[in-house]
Amino acid sequence: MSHLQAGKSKRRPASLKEWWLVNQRRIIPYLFIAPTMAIFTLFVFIPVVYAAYMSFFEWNGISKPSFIGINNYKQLIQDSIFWRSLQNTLVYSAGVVPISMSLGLLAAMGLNHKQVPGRAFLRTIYFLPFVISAVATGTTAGWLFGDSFGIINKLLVSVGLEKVRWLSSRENAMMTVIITTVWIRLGFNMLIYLSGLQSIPIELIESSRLDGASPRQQFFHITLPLLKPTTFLLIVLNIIYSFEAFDLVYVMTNGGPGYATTVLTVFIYKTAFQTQKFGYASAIGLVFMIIIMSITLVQWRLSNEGGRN
Amino acid sequence: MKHNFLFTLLITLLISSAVHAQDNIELSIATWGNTTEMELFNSMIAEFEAMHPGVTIDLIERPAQGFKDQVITELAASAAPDIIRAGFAGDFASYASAGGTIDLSPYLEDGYGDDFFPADWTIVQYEGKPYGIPLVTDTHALFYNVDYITEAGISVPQSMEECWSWEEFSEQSRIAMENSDADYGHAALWNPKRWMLFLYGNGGSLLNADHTEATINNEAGIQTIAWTQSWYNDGLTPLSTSMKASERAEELFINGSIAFLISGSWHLPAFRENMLSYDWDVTYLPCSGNGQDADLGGNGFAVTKDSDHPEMAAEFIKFMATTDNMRTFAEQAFFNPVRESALEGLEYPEFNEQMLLFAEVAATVNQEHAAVQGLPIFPQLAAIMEDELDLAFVGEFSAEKAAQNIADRINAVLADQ
Repeated sequence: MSHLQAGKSKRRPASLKEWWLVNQRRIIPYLFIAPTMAIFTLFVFIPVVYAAYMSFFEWNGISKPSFIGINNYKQLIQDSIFWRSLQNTLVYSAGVVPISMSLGLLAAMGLNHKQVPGRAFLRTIYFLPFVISAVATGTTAGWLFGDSFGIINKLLVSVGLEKVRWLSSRENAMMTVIITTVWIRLGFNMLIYLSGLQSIPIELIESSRLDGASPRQQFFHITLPLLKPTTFLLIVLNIIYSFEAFDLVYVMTNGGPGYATTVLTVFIYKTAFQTQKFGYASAIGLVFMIIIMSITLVQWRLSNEGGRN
Repeated sequence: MKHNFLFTLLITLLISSAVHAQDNIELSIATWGNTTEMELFNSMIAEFEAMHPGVTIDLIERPAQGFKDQVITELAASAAPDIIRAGFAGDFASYASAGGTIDLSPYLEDGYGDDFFPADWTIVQYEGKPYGIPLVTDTHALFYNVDYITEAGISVPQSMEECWSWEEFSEQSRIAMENSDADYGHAALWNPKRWMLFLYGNGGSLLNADHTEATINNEAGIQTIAWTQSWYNDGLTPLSTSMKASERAEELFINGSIAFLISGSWHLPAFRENMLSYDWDVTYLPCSGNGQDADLGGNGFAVTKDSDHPEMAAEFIKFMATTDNMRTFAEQAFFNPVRESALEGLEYPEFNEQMLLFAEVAATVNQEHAAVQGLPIFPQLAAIMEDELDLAFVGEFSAEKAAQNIADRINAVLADQ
């Protein structure tokens, strides 16, 4: 009996072997994703569900939690530091995403040319900050931008300029953190854009050139539209990354000066581990997760509509 | 016959393994510490194991940063080590109030705490019972760059009675900044707990006596905030060393950016190793004349609820805190002992003069300050002070507003209790 016949007939399979032959095409994909799903369930899904549950409790992390209903959410709405942290997160994201993507695209365009000497070396240099731990890059950036003995200020002074309070000024601290994040993210964006650029058929570029299109026209009318799927992917990835950024900000500024760089992740960490309010921290985390999910959904919706157009 | 022999052998093995299991006690102790401290812990463990055959102690070394986070997570999972190191910034009471550590009273003989300095013994108490044993303390004094102050013609106080007033200190800081290569006069290695030494030293307080209301919003409190805020407003101190610092004050001292550093004795070995371009020394902190206080730093050990052998765990931390062991640990790791008896014959292999100055300062800790610092909610109070003082230091608002904000937020926390 062929597999097809077995599939069509409604009778029960005679043996396990036969059942397997009938169903294997349906089951094998699930086996492939099973390890990932197991890890996801264990380390993401269960903690998220548990955090959602804990957000209705007052809990210091050790003793028995006490149920307080939606009080944590009521407190959150009235908490000015939460709103300030959310605002900071949006500012940080709005700074990091477009700049790191534009510079990443620029670097990818440059390094896509075979004539550029030391292409592989330059790609590695750009990509290096991304693979190094954010704590190490944050510490290095702290030394670079340090007010008193930072290398950048030493350079500024050596050319007769004034020192800049990169990290200790409320006005500059967020900008400095954004610059550092752009430095880290640039390499990743470059790499993804580079793969996008290399998938553009060379014939399209060649024929547009023969038709007299200028490099600027080629870029805006051929390259950029064809990079749309890559761009949408990067927008989603970068927004999620910038919303989740914690270690770099914590190491560089500890959320200061004042609340100037207190992003939501830093606020959640401090609420949980500094003041031991795990229930409240869970509530903030859950709201934060809903915000990220909503933005991602909107992005995907736009991306799909863009794809159809 | 053969069966009898096998049966006897089996029974013997079972009995011996049961006896062996009863004798064998495995303890784990989690601590942070530098190389010297870890060596001292290892040597105490070896001595204790020799005194108690069958007891083995596993020393778990962890970074100080994030230590408490890890312990809290382990306690939540009922998988904490038997013994944990805990700091003096409310750790003992916050672990105890959450049921994470155990009351050691049943394991301590009457009058056990009498030899300890009152502030250090207070800090390990929760609801009047000891939930830990303090090992060592550390406090702050005033480090100074000898080259700079000589250049600027400054003479430092030679005794606690000669301490500079707050105004005199600010003036000396300015003189040092203007008359030496220092970029700034001074900086402090802040945290809210350390700031409190100036508050209580000025006759102020964070909470009232029964800890039911914030008392920082008065003349002494506002004056203290205003004075520390003036360091930044007047350009004597780099803003990068505010409460949420982006530069380490001790690094600025090492590289000669500041003339004075307010910090603790643990820097001594690091300064010896790294501060090679300048001479340096230590003197007394400025005083307001309205009160007396010192930073109450330090740490000790507690037994967790997850310990299967609390009696032996308590025995070990008592052993670590015997007069001789405490003195040795303090001498070798550059701390001050917390037992009065350990001060006798105390002689540091290096920096003896400086360490004795720190010990003299440590003895002046204000009791009310110690009681507040030992509250289980102190980490929450400290987080509030960190936020508001940082905002005041970076010029977001006035000292009056900072005092008002701290009081309002602390009262809200107290109302929730």
